[in-house]
Amino acid sequence: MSVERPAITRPSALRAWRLFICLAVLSNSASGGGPATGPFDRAIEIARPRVVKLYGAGMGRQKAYGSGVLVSPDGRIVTATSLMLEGRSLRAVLADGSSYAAELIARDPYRQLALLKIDVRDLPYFDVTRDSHVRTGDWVIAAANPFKVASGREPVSVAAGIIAARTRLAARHRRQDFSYDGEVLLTDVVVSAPGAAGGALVDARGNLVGVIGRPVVSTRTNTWVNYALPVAEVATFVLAPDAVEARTRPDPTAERAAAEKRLLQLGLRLLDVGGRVRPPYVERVRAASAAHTAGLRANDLILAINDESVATCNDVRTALQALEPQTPLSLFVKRADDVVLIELASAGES
Amino acid sequence: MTRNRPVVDGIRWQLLPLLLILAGSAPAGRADEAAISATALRTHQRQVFQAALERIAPTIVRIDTIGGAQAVREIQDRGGDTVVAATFRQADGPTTGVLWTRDGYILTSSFNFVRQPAIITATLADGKRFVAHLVARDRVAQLALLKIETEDLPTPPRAPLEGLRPGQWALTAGLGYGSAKPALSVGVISGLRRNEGLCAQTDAKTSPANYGGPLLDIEGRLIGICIPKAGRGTDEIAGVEWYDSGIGFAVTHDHLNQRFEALRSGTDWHAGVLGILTSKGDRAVGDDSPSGVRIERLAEDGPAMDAGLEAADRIVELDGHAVDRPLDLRRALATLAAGQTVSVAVDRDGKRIRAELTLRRADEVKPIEPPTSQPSGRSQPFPIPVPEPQP
Repeated sequence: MSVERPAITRPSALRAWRLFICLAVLSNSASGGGPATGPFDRAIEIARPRVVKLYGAGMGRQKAYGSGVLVSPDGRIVTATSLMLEGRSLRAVLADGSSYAAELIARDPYRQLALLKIDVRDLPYFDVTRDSHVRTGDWVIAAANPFKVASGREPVSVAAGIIAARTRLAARHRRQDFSYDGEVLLTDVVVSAPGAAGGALVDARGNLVGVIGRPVVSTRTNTWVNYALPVAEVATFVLAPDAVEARTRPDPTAERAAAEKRLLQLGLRLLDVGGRVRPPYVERVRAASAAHTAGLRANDLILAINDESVATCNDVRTALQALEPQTPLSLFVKRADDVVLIELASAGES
Repeated sequence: MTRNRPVVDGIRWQLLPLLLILAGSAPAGRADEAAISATALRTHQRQVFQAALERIAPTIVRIDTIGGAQAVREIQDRGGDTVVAATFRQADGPTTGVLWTRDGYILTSSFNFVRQPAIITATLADGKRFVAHLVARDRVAQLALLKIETEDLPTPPRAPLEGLRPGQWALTAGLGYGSAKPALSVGVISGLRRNEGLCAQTDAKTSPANYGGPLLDIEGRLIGICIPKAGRGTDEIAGVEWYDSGIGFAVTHDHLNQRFEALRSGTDWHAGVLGILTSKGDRAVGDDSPSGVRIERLAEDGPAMDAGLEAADRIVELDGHAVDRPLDLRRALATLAAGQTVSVAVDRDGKRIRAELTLRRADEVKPIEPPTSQPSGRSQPFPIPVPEPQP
């Protein structure tokens, strides 16, 4: 790729120099049949030099390559956690083909991101403090190296699509629940391919809107999710990598006890007879309890708690346990052929 | 409009030094103006996509199911034995449907009910939630009809299908990822009359996250309902392995209308068969052999035999549809259900013979032994040429 336009974040001296090159290139290409004016030219020109190819030591059949996004002029790279990081050697290859040893400097076990450092200066980068607030239907470009198609000094691959929606992620990685359960940008660009994780999702103007996350399977659909961590989440980690604490999972026994306490306070008992799938039927409602006053009855099947669907007794416990104390509580329950909305002023004490 | 200002300003700022240096260098200036308008166009497209989604969104229904087992699929292995295969594991998340009538019929994909759930609820765009009853399933078009007890519901505007062309914008929408509003995918119409004529094909993404949801045009009007179906598989999850591949299908609303009328009676739609084995393969283009589909063998006491059809007859018409090649026959059959009585016309030694026959379910017709010397076209869709033994 000989055509390179001025990079916004380059030092001004360099910028001026590149402008001359740019001028020459533009005049030449314009007189020689017209330059390409695809709708994403600008976004691609900005994105490609800011995305790096990463290579690590493989483990068994594990893929040991990925993508990363430059987030500082001095060579900080954010990427998604993968086994690639566990090996001894880790290399980052820039868009111009130059290759550097990368050092792992921080991890975010909740968002499953990692921060790497290469020893170079004056690099083009994305400013993660800027959030362009994309919305559903906005065009986006994914810039990454799925299947390590790009090698050597080839720039990473780009693919176009739109922002599909914003939603909270509910996913698993292999057999385990995926730690990140916050908001993600869903896209209709297929970014769940091996090697794409850590790549950039940019809008049509070339602003970074998200970093492609580790490939995970949605627990809602059992399909690979095409998602990116919003730039604000990436910034939380990148700007204060040492402040990120591992979100340890709370003690399940204590969690269950807290949920049971809530149920007791509300005055209801679930019909939990064991088995693999336990639909949350209400077994008993204590007379004159909060739940009873609100209209809950025995044999009701709880469908949703504060708009979150619950399919099992455990879902109910998880939902109740997660509620802030003294907040309003709404339940959708199925009673015979009706769906009844039950509203309580308070979810009880914690 | 005010939203666009910063965009233009931002670009102008970047352009300023360039323009100063160029000082009237027209070719480069033109190139960048083109880039600006292309960027602005993308911003406007977002508004167009969102407007399309907003128009149809009130008719998109979230479906939740409770209970039910995981489906296993029985398949024939290479040796011909029936084995239970690992099938796509259905998840617990919500799925998508489309309001079909003002009084609470919902059309969706039968993919969403493979697990035979004990309880189904439907949540409307305004948050109202109802217990839904599964009225009937369509085993051919992979549809399911649900009913909720309410009135005065919105129904989707329909896209005119006669104007539908490959390359025009097409969008899919679904609630499967649990987003508050439907998740959108944008693409184009890739093909028409796919899957025996029932479906439009699109490169907008389709997956369990939007099976049962709408395929809409750029005006927000319904083209069809997304289903997994791909290839010749006949079970309810056939085609799911192609999810998010850019090869997706939606049953077009002309067929949805027809099938809705049949399904609302409460009887499942099963494929109807004629009880015949047809000639191997398709006629090659330019082949001047006689038109129609030649009957090779007939099932004992099957619909075709009962109607007096014979081997070597050529089917030239079924239910008013002209039949020239096997695809025409498959397309005609796809619009017909077992139990329906239809007219058939065959060519027998140059004479046209008409008859009426009642289609039956495949499992109600005795199997036809394929001729041992000549493998049937059906079991070998892609005949592999076998080299002649050398003398």
